[in-house]
Amino acid sequence: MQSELVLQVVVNGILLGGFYALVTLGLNLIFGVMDVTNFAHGDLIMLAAYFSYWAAELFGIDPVTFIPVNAALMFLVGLAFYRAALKPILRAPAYNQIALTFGFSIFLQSLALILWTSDMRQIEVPYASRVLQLGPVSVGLGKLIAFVIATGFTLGFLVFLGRTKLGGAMRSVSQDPMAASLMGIDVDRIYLLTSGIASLLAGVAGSLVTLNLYINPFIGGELTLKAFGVVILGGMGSYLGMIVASMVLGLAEAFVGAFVPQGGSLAPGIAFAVIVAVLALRPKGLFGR
Amino acid sequence: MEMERKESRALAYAVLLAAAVFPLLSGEYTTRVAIGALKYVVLAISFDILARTGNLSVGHAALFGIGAYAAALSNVYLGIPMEAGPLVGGLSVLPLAVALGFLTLRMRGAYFSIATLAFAEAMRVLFLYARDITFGAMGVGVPPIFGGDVIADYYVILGLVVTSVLLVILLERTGINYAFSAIRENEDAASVLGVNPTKYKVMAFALSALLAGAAGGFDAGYTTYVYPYEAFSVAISVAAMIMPIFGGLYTVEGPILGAVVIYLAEEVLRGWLPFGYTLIYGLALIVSILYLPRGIVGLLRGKKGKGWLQSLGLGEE
Repeated sequence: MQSELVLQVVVNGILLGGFYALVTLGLNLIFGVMDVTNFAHGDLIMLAAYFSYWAAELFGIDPVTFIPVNAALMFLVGLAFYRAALKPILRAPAYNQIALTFGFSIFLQSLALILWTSDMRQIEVPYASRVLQLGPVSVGLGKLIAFVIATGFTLGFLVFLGRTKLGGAMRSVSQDPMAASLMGIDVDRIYLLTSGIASLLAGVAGSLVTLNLYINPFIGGELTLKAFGVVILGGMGSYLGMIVASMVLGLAEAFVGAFVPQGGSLAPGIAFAVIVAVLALRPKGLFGR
Repeated sequence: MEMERKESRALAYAVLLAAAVFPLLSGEYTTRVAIGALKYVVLAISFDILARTGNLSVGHAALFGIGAYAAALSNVYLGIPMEAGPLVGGLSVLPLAVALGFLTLRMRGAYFSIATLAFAEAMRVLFLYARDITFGAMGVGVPPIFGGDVIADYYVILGLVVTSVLLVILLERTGINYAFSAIRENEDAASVLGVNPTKYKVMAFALSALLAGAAGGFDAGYTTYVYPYEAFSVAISVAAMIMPIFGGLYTVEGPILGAVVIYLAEEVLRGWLPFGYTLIYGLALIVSILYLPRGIVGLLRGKKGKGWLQSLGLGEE
């Protein structure tokens, strides 16, 4: 009985971890390539979640079907975000980066409040609440779909980064923008596309949020902090570290939620505690440069 | 130079006099608005003191919230009157701030900001969770400070503002501020030149916390209720950060101006934009970074003093 419960909790943790990896991916990418810490990352996911909500409410489009459109929309948002929020602070002191991206975080949040108020919103997705019984383990279909799509995009992105010409250009810019520019790579264009792709990935994550959770304009802050927790645990800019750390966070939340009394209210705090504890011991993250 | 100093001193006394007679000449509503603005002046100065060492706190609500809870819980459990709230709030955050100062000592740039943001969120989760002590999401109710006399409340918060301003002036006069600036500009160089970064960073953290905690302790008795979602809200951290940046960091008058201007703008905007009036914060921050690197103060002072801007790491002009 106990071992079955543990197995169930492990499965829940892994499903959650796969989603966290995708949530973190865009933040990690912008940090890796541009060396900018984007405090507005979660708010881009929030914005995409509302696009998904609008598509469902106004046109009756299913959130999963809407993913390609949402990704394309958010790619464009990412291009604009680069011009407005990232370009002015490239290679600026940390102070400017923190303050400007944080300013855009509040801006996006306020915009969402004006457009959609602070009410909790949810899309009715009948199949998402179905539960599959896989041997001793039961899995919500919505969570399973979110995990599969998130993992697909995460791995797909890593293949893109490793195997394509554009991915290679992004890697060389992340290592040494000056050298990359001397090799004939248009660094500004790579930065622009990086921001677009990071936002595209946030768009997919935003669609998946609406599949399983209520949304309001404030969800971005918590998502940003969870993504920070993952990159601080896994190492800023490291993708393997990011996947491992996402799993650790997902599993830790699932275990605390299941086995600690009143753990459900404590679980969201794990990422915050991890951040404070890791940074206190290793001020630049566990594998910081 | 001497002339300028005399003028600015005269201006300071005039502002202080106006602030002192203000509640006697105005109604209850305007006095309450003024109390709200002054509360944020204290928070803005508190943020600025810490920022002088180069550390940007994005979690100032943690210090404010713990001060508020300390004042409220010591009233509930120990019967300490809420009139002592600012003192209780300020002093009880102090040991924590010293610990945090040491903990965050080696964190730089974004890492420090992320840690403070996470710390404030962790405090909210913790105070919600420990409901046997903190009453959880229900919050703690306390009797009003000075029986709810608005004019008395006003003078308490004005006293806190004056204390904060005097503290900053003292920092600037004693040269401690030079140590702060040296650490902000280049910590390694400062340390080579004999400035002990540990000592000054912990000192800045402690002074900053003392003021934020005192503001929280006052707020508990003024609003007569402390809720985890409000005491540790991101909105407070955001205001504490944006007001001094918009007003002009590392100056005496910048945080005061920024807090008053943004608070009043928010009051007006809240009327016709009940959702999303926080837009003013986002815009103020974006405009400050892109167009007003020295805030309102920089605008008022004009081109004079150009040159120190770059050395502060505040971007180019």
